[in-house]
Amino acid sequence: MREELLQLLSAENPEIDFTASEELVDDGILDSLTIVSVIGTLSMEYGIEIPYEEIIPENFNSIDAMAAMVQRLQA
Amino acid sequence: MSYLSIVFILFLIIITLLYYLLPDRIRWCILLLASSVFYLCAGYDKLLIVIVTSLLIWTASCAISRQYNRMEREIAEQEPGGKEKAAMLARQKRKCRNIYLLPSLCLVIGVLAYCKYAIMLEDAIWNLFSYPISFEVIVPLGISYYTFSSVGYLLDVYWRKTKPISNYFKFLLCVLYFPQIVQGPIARYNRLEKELFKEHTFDYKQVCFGMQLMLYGYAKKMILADRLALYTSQVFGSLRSYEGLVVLIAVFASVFQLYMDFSGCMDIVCGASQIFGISLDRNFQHPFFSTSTAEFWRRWHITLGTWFKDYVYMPVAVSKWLIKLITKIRNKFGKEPAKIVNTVIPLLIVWLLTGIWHGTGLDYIIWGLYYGVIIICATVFAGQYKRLAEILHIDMTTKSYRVFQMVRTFFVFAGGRLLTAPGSVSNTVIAVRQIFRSFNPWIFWDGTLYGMGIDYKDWCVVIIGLLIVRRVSILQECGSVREMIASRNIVLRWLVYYGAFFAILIFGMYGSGYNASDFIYGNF
Repeated sequence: MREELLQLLSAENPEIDFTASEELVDDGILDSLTIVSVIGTLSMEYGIEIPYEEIIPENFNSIDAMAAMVQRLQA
Repeated sequence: MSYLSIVFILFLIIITLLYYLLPDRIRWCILLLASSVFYLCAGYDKLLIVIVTSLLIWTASCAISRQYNRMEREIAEQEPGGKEKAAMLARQKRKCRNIYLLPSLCLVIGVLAYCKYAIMLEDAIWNLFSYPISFEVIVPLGISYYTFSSVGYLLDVYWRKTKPISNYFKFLLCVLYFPQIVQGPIARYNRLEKELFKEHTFDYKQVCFGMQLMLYGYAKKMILADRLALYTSQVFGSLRSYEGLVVLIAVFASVFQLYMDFSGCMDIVCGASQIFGISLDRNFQHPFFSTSTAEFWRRWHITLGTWFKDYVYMPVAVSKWLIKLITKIRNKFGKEPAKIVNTVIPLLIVWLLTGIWHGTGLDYIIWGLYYGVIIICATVFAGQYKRLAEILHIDMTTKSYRVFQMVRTFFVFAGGRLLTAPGSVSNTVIAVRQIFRSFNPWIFWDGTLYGMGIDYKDWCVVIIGLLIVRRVSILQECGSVREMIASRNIVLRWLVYYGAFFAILIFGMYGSGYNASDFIYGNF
């Protein structure tokens, strides 16, 4: 799941290195525009609905955190 | 009670003395009493509206929280599976939304809309039906600011991003807190609550730093903003009488006037709050050092920008209908158009609402769209700009290019001021026409420029003042100026303090025959 997600997001946002940090949001690597793009990609690719309360920095700070969120929402 | 009045200074001194003389556990009560008295000065009917509004928001937030707690207990007891649990959550959320959230939001936003649009409604009824109607509108002090804070707070509770404040009077203090009620910063009550109710001990350094920040704010407002206001109000007040550079200078003067007015007020209120050991959210971070318009708006009125980002931009961008729409576009036209739609729609909505928040006229809607279009173009065509720079061999990493970006951003902001400073769309058209009517550089030496509200000496004060503020801003980018001053010897330190104090006394615009201008952002 992690590798698949990394490939998918890197293809969508080639200018961003998603492995550069474990705190992508807190370090300012992901801004609100990119987060919106990531959410759009995740919703479309995995057929999930990401509720607004899930949109917190902790869920987008790393590829692992995003993968965990997708798996949780798919359950 | 204006922040610029002697009464406010005396009020602050009395409250500070009481605050530190009484035990820590009741200090918040002093602040609540002080905030109520401060608000009462604006009118008891206004205070009543705020009390009722805050009571409604507080009751709704507690009710939502109780529903969620009940649901969590049920989940713990029944231990449902993933889908069943999600269904339970969705049911509770729907219930909270329909019974508590939406009616409360409609009411508080309705009051704000009524206060803002009642006069427009009167005009519309008169124009349509020729029927004279007059609404008695009571506009509570700082209604836009506390409404936005309250809406944000209630949404945070609904989204379970924060717990509600359990004590109504503590919540009321968050709403009424007097340093921020008039023109912000737009508070996040969960953060402000932590600041207000933490342990506060008397800290000489904090009190001194607070007073210094206030002094700097008063200097910005009284020496620079109010001086420039004399010129801009004269020019924009009779636009047809002036032309060429006189009007153009008024546009640029209004840029600095607005910045000095608003950031000056923020320094005053943040300084006043720091005296009590309470940090308010930062509202300005040297916006004129921004290299793009998007960055400018991340540094100017920061709390409004983050409010729109958290409560409008993100919810719209991740909403079901938009995701469905971009999925359709992606399947039909490909990734790039879907990405563009995903960027354009939320940004347009945000900027349209930002325009409406700033003013009720058509000029503010155009102003919002102006920024929306600029930021959207910069985002959507970022790749193309980069390629163009490569083709033209422009090195975007040099210092000179950075300076060019700053100047460009400044001009974009000045363009925005040209849309709103004259007061209406028709006045903006007149202003543009008057600017291009003639090129008259002789106004600098034939005395024309020095006979419109402010004279030659005033212009010198303005230019020197702006250079000092620029220098201080550069130093602030590197660290705390107040810490720098504090580390110097006593002679230099007090020279700076006395210098600032006497500069306000000598160069400040006040006294008999002069009516201090209200803060520009104070009427929202």
